[in-house]
Amino acid sequence: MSDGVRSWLLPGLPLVFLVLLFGYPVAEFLSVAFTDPAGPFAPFLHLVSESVYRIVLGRTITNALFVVVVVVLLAFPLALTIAHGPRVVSRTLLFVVAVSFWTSFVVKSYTWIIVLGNRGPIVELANLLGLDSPRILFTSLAAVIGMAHILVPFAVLVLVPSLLRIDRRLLLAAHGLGASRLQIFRTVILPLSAPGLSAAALLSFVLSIGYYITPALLGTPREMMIAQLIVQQIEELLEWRLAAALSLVLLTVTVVLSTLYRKASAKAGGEA
Amino acid sequence: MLNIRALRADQGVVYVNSWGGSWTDAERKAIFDPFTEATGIEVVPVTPVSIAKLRAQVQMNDYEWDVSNMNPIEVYQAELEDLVEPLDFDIIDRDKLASNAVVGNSLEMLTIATALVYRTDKFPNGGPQSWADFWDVERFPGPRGLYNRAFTNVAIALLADGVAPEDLYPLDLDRAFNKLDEIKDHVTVWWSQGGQSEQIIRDGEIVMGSMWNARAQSVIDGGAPVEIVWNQAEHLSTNRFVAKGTPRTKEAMQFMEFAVQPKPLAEFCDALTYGPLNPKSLDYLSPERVEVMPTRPEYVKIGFHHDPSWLAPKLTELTERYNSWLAS
Repeated sequence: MSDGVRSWLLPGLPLVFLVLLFGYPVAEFLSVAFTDPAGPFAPFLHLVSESVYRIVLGRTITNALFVVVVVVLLAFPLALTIAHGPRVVSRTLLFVVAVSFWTSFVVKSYTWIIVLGNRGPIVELANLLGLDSPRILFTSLAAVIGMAHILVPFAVLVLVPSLLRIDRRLLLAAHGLGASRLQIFRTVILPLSAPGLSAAALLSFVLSIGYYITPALLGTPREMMIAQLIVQQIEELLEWRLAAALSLVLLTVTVVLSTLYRKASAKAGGEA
Repeated sequence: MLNIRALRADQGVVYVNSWGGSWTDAERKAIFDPFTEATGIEVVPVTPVSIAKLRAQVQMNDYEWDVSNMNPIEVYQAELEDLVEPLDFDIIDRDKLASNAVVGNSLEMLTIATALVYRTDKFPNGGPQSWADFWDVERFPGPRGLYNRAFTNVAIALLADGVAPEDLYPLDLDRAFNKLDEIKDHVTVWWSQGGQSEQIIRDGEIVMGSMWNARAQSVIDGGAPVEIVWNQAEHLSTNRFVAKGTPRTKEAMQFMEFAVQPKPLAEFCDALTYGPLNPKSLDYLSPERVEVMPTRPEYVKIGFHHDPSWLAPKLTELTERYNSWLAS
């Protein structure tokens, strides 16, 4: 076997695998969107003319952005401690994050039903304090909490390697030159973490925009996300053209937003 | 594992679409195992029940299951799409079926009631007795739950507005959605999973709601203070049918006949308290058990039915309108 062939074989096999088993079926499914007898774009015109699809798409993006903010705010301090904290603390935290990462997201979603539910600790605490029972379960807030909980370990695992690359000597130098802890954080740690943070944010956004089971279990159909609508079109109504059109819209929105975001963060990184 | 076992069986195999969980457990004990014993044909359950999968199977001519069970509206949808194999009366013995059993190309198996249920501890002076009472938030205050299914909610809204069960069809959608507007903000949970409906009534997330009768029964049997209102309950049957074009049609038809026989059907309903649609099944059930089943004659009289031939072709339009009503 020549070296040329061999060097292609390693990346080539997984590539063939991806194209055949992922790319082809996805393309095949999406192409269903253009098979309406009333015209290839009829399903898309329908999506535009019925306001419910716009509402649900808008809500899906808003919810996903909320999730990103929560995930980044929770994951960043966690990842920072794992990367630069004392060894024992860092190991323990990493273990906890890994266990959470391995736990099924269905199990996690059901756990939130217990925690946020009428017999859960939050409602009991409120009752103890003489407050009205807060209604969190079966609202969008519950869906956002559930999704963020699932995505935090993903974000931490993306962040940690990038934070580990920060040269500790820079922190020591800043400290030696008289910078306060806040100054060190603002002027050294934060700019150097930017690539990792933007990668984590992008990953959380892309994952949460297509979430199905968690919003279905914890949220409310009054504020449903787009994946729930797609599943309903496929499973209940057999409207596969509409489902494919919706999926294509979701895919396009995701790709466009991700590209814009990448460009924006690359620009910000360049100026920093 | 199961597939390997099935391949080894001499007498063939039939793949049966099933809901999983307690449903499949009950089916295995009451229907699958006795069928295998009687015929030598192995039964392999495949979950979950999915009309989308049925269409994909027929289109691809590649069958993961041969027999399914769905409600008559879904069966009608499937018939419209030509996904149902005609019943083969050379294999199925008509004389062994109840007179009402054959519906189109499907066999009626049982009735699931989606009934109003309420927490008796929240209403010590008597709870709601009708959908009109469900709508009466002054006399019966508290958060409510509804099964998030468009045609069910549209129908109960019309009943709450005073439409008689026999006059439901054709559905007056404008009237129904106007009525639904009144209750919308009092419904805190729009449930979609059976387990979820059990949790919300058991934990008191809601004081009343719509619920499948066997799910409600399981909550009651678990000791929760819950009562089923049989008045104006939705009666929706579950029918068995064979996937169009499956290579195991013969075994599938044999299974169909067996599954609606009085004894196996009675044993299944004994486990899950849905109502057997073979009247002879009642001979195998205790009177106390029949009392919590929707096919008890007294309950049939006060329940309501849908018209699948009207509903199935309009399902997409109705669901879209319902979604946008719900989302706005």
